[in-house]
Amino acid sequence: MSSFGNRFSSDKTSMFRVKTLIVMPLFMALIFLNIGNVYAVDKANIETGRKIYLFGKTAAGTAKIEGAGGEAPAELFACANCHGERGEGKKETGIVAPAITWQQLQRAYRRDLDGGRKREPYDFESFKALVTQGKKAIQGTSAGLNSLSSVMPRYHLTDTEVESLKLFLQQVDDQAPDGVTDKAIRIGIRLPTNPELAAVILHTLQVYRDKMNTTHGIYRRALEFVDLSNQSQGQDVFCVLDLSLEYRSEISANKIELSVFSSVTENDLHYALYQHPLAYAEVAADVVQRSGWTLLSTKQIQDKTPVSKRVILLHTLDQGSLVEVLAGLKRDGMNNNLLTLSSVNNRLPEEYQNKVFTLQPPGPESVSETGKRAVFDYINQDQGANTQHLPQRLWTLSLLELLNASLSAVGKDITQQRLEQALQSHIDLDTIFGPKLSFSGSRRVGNVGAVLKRH
Amino acid sequence: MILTDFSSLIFYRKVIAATAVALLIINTNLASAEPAMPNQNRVIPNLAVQDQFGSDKQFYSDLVEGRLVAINFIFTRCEMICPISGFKFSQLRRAVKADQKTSLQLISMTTDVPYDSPQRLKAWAEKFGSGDGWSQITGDKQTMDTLLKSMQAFAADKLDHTALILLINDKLGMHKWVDGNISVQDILAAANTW
Repeated sequence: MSSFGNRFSSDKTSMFRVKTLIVMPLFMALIFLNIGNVYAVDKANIETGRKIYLFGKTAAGTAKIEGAGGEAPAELFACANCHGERGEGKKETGIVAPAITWQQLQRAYRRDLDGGRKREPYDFESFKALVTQGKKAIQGTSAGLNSLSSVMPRYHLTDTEVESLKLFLQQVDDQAPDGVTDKAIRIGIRLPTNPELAAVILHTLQVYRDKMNTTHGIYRRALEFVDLSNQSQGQDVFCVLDLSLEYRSEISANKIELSVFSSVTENDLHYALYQHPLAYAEVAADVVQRSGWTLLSTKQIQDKTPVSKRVILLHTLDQGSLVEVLAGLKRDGMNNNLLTLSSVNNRLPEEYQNKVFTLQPPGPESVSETGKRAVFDYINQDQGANTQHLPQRLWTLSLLELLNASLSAVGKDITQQRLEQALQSHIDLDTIFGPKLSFSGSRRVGNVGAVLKRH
Repeated sequence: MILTDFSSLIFYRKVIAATAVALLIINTNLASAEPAMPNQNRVIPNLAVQDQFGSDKQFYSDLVEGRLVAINFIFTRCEMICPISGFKFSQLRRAVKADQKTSLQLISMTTDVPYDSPQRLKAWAEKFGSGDGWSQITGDKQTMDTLLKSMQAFAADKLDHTALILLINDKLGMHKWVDGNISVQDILAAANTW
C-alpha cells in the first residue's frame, strides 16, 4: 500500500510537476500578455490624449466658447495653443494660461496668486469638470468664483477622452526636453565658414564650457556643445547658438536660437543680440554718402532716445539689393572706424558683389575693464591666439553669458518656454563683454532697425 | 406720429416704459464697456491699407467714415487670444446679419506686418467663418503703426496687443472700448447703445 501509496504520491507529484510545467508558462504568458495589453491600452490612451492636447482632435470635434454662441471647431482651440506644447503655460495680452502638467494640477494653491490659482488638487472628476465645464477645483466658495475665464474653451469630451488627456499630462511631466538629461544640457552651435575664425570661436567655447563644468555647470547639468554643421545631430539639442557671426537666411524652425544677426526668415524663437553699438549715426550718414545707399525707412524705436543718439549696424538682406540698418544706443568711448567690406559680398548675386558694406562686431574698446581682463584670460589659455579676432571672442562670450544667465534664471525644470520667458525678462543684464543687454519687446535682445536700398 | 386717442397714448407710454426698462437691463449688462467718448482726440488717419482680398482701401473713408464699426486687433500667428477673438467676430458677424437692425461693420487689424499678408488674413478668418461685413486689414508697417497709435492700440511687441474691442460710431463722433471677453450679445448691445 505504502509503495502504492508512495507511487501514487509520486505520480501525483509528477502530475503536479507536469501540470505546473504546462500551466505556469501559460499563466506567465497570460500575465505578460495582460501587461502588454495594459501597456498597449495606456499607450493608445496617451496618444489619444496627445491628439486632444496638441491638435484639439476630439470625438465631438467641437468646443463651447463662452459668450460667443454656437460651437467652435475644437481643432482651432487646442490646449497646447495656450498652455504650451508641454503644459508649461503661456502668457499673452495680459492673459495667463497656467502650467497644467498633471504634476502642476496636483498642487493645491492656498492663496490667490495671480487671479485664479486658489484651488484644490485636481482628481479625475474635478479635472473633468475643469476641461468640460470650466470649473475650478475650489471648495467652500460660491459657484460664481468657481469658473475659469471665458477665454478657456469648454470641450466636449467623453470620460475616456478626459482620462486620456490626464494620462498625456502625466506623461509630459516625465519627458525631458530635447537635448536635456539629468546630467547635461546640449547646445547646438553654428560656427563661421572661415576655418581660422571657427577655430578661435570653438576654442572660446571650449574654455567657457570647461570653466562652467568644473563649477558644476548649470543646476548640476554640464554644458555640451554640438556642432550643427552635421545636420543629423541637429534635433537633439535644447537650443542653438549661432556663432557664425554672419547673416543667415535660415534659422532653426523649432528651437530657440540666439545669434548676433537678425534673419530674413521670420521665427519667433529667434533672438538676435544687437548688443553692441557698432558705429554712430554719423557713420550711417557717411555710408549713405560714400556708397550711394538711400535710406528707405526707419523703423520705430519704442523708447525716448533722440534719433541722434542712435547707432547702426548694416547687413545684407537675402536678395542682396538691400542693406538693413539696425539701430542701437550710442555709447561713449566707441570708435567710428568699424566699417569694412564683408565676406557676404562673395555670396551675393554678381551685380551686387563688392557693392555691399557691413560692419564687424565690436572691438575691445566697447568692453568694460572687467570684461577686458576676463577676455584676455580666455586668450591666455589659447596658445598662439590671434588677438585680431578679439571682437569675435567678445560676441561669443556675450552670447554665452546671455545663455548662461537665462538658463540659470530658468532653474532646474528646464523648458523652451521658460528659457523664452527668461530671455524676455532681461533688463540691463551685464555680461561684462559689452554693453548691458535688455530685451527690447520685439523678440530681440537689443533693438530695431531701418532699411537702406541702393540707388 | 400722431396719437389719436387716449388708449393709444397709454399703449405708447407702456411701450416707452418697457423700452426704458429694457435699455436699463441692457446697460446693466454692459459693465465691461467703457463709457462712450467723443472722438475729438482720436483722429483716425485716412491711410492706404489692404483688405483680405488684397484690395486697396483708404482706412478712414472706405471703412470707418459715417459707419458703426467694431475693431479688434489680432495677428494670424497668435495661438492664444486671437483665435477666440476671431471666432467671436465670426459669431458677431452672424448676429449682426440676423439682427438686421444694426449696420455694424467688423474690422480685424493685424499687429504683425509684414507677416500678415492679405492672403494670410483671409485664410485665418475663413477658419472661423468669414463673410460680408468683416474686413481683415493689413498694410505697410509704418501705416499700420500709425493707425494703431491713432486708436491707442499700438504695442511694441505683437504679443502685447490689446484684447479689447474698439467700437466707433462715426456718425455720432463717439467711440468706446469693450472687453473682448464679453458675450457677442453684449458687444452687439454696446454697439447699439450710445
